[in-house]
Amino acid sequence: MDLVKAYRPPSFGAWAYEAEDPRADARGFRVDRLAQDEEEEAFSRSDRQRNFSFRESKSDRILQNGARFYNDHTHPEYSTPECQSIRDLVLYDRAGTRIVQSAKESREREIGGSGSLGIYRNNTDFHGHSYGCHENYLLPRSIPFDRIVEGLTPFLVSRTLFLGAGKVGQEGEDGMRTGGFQLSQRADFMEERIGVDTMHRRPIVNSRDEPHAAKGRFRRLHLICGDANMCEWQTAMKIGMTRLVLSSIVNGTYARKSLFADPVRAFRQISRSEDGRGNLLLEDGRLMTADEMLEEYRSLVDDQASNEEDRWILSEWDKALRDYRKDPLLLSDRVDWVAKKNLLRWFSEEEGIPPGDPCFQSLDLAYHDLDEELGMFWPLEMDGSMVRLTDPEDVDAATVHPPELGRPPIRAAVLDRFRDQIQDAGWERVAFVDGTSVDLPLFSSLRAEEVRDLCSRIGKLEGPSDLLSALSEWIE
Amino acid sequence: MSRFDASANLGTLVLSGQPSGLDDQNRMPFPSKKGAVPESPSPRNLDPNPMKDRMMDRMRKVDPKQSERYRQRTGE
Repeated sequence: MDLVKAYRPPSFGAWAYEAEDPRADARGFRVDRLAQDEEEEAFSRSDRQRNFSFRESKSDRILQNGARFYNDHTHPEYSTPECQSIRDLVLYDRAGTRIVQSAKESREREIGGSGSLGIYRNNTDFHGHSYGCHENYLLPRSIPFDRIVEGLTPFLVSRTLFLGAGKVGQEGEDGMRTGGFQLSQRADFMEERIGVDTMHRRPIVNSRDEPHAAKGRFRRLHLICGDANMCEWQTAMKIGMTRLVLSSIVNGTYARKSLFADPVRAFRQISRSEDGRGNLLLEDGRLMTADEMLEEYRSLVDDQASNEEDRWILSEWDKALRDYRKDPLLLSDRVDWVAKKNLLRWFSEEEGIPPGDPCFQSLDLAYHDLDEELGMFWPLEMDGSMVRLTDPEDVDAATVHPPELGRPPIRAAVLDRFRDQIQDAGWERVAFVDGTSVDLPLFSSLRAEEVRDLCSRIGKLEGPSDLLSALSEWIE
Repeated sequence: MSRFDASANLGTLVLSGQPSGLDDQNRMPFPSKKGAVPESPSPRNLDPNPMKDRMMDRMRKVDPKQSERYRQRTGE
């Protein structure tokens, strides 16, 4: 809470919680309770004794760049603004890392102890507690949810090969171990194929139905099964590969091929096997490896590239498959689990410490430390041993400016113009103290100069009622 | 699960000058805001020895008990 508040640049601080509905299920129903309710209620009881309100505890902030930054169960959570390109997504994700680090340094100055706080961009505390790195994809509601789940699940399981962040040890309901190395931080915590829960009985495909856009036209696919990556290549590939597979499902070109007999089991098998190798049982009794499944998906999306970014993703997908098959070590310039595993092996050999030693979980944690002076990832990137895709100057700009396209710049203009007249705001809805509220559309058809013109017009409006007429052209 | 010293086929680290995926001259650049960037996004693969020393120094400074102390609430 104090860390989020310590972030200095101006922001808007009243989040519209009423617009959220985590119990709505995309399969067409609403659950009465979530598996985490009991734990959430215990947290709430505990927090109530600490003399601050729910809103104070959450400390929600809508940042200048269109992102959301808040306290989620005592860890800082950053959500990028809505992005229309992989380039923007990677850029605003990296900006988030810088924002959280800046908040940490600011908080350390407040408490007078430089280096006294540690922030890790990872998914586990090694004691059985996990927290996610969420992906969100806007899809047409006309696509049946079951089709999305069937088409996507084998891909989500097998993409671990390229996208794992690497983890020392094992957690989860099937046992705790401090030794051993696996590809994924999240595989231990995935227990269901599909479900609306996110903190217990976690699913490979989350069915929360909360589109943050016109509900009659859109759904938001909310995925919680991926790792938080340090390397930008993995973030770009995670979004880019998944976007291509979703395109094939949306366009109707996806043709059902191979399905895992037990996707949850396959997820863990890939994660826990040596370099992700090993045969996985398919529904029809055949066996297939994770790289073979990724190759099958690669052929499925061959005709889905619609722009230069997609072509880059396909090219890197091919290269990663080739490199993995030649020697997984070739991926050490792009893939966290490979780089981390190599560093740990190095340390084990140089220091004569056996791999089962608990100290390796501390080294694993240090790989994810946001502090560039302490974290083990940063020297690899700075010295050119791991790929960086963003320009540092662009990242600086992305900490304070929203993306050029879509809803974020419009929302930022509205918040800037009517700051004192707004009761609360979320991704879509802005509610004013006079009782007016506006559901912002996605503005996805506007070009950058049209967005700038509209923002300029919003800046000159007299009051909230004028906003409705200014946006009427895009509001359905 | 694997042990990070157990794989016979792993060879040695890229950082110590062994096989690397950095040598593909035809690699397509990541698209930038201004169009394709002139330089490849591939890493520069610097002289590995100073890098190895630097990484070992950094790893030796990690508190071996840090993960035992680190606790988070489950969250999403």
